[in-house]
Amino acid sequence: MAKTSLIISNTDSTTGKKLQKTLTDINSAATNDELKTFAQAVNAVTTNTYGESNRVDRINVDTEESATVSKLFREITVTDAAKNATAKISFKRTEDEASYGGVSLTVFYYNTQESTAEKLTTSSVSSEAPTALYHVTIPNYNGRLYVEIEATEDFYSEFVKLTISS
Amino acid sequence: MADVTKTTKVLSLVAEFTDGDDRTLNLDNPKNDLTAAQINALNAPAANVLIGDQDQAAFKQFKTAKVITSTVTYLDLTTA
Repeated sequence: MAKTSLIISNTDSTTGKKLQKTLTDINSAATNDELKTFAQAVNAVTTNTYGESNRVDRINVDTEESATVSKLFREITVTDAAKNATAKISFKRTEDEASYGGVSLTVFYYNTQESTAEKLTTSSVSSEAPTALYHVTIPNYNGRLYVEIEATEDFYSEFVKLTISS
Repeated sequence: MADVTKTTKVLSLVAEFTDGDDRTLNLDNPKNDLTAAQINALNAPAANVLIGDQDQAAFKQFKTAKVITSTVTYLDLTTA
């Protein structure tokens, strides 16, 4: 079971220094608004002068034994159709593992969490770099959105992190 | 090279959950002169966000809040 964490990223407006807080054991049923309200309350008791929050899940993917498909569902609700929904996927491999070659990730979007849901769209990314950050944007989406990641090739990774926001 | 002294501050919050378990949240760089009202303002938004780490019990309240100031001195080992 993927662990849900809240990562609050801040940039100090005076020093420009990047600050980050990670709080684990977050209720996966909490809405984006609830998470943002909590993040703002946390920022109110610290010295950070600027903050924003996103829902973040971190999963470990290791397909060394078999071509395991690793999936992670996250949900957001986009209420302003003029805004885009963006999925940011980052992954990092160790230097040694990078010699195994590229990685291929496929991202699916659904409008329901049912496994039989019709896919709204599919996007794939491939990289031979040891680290990469990949953004997928769904323009003008209004409603609930579920994102699923599949690692479809041998994937020697320290972590895959999925952040979705609107 | 002389000894180097560094001071850090941490806000340590003990959260209580409905099953009686406690969990401590440590937040770096707390503001100076924190008030009880500022701490209590965390309660409402935390209610549906934080869960216990054992059986995912719901958040109940913050029981205690401490500001811990640590002073660490790195001794200069190059002097005779």
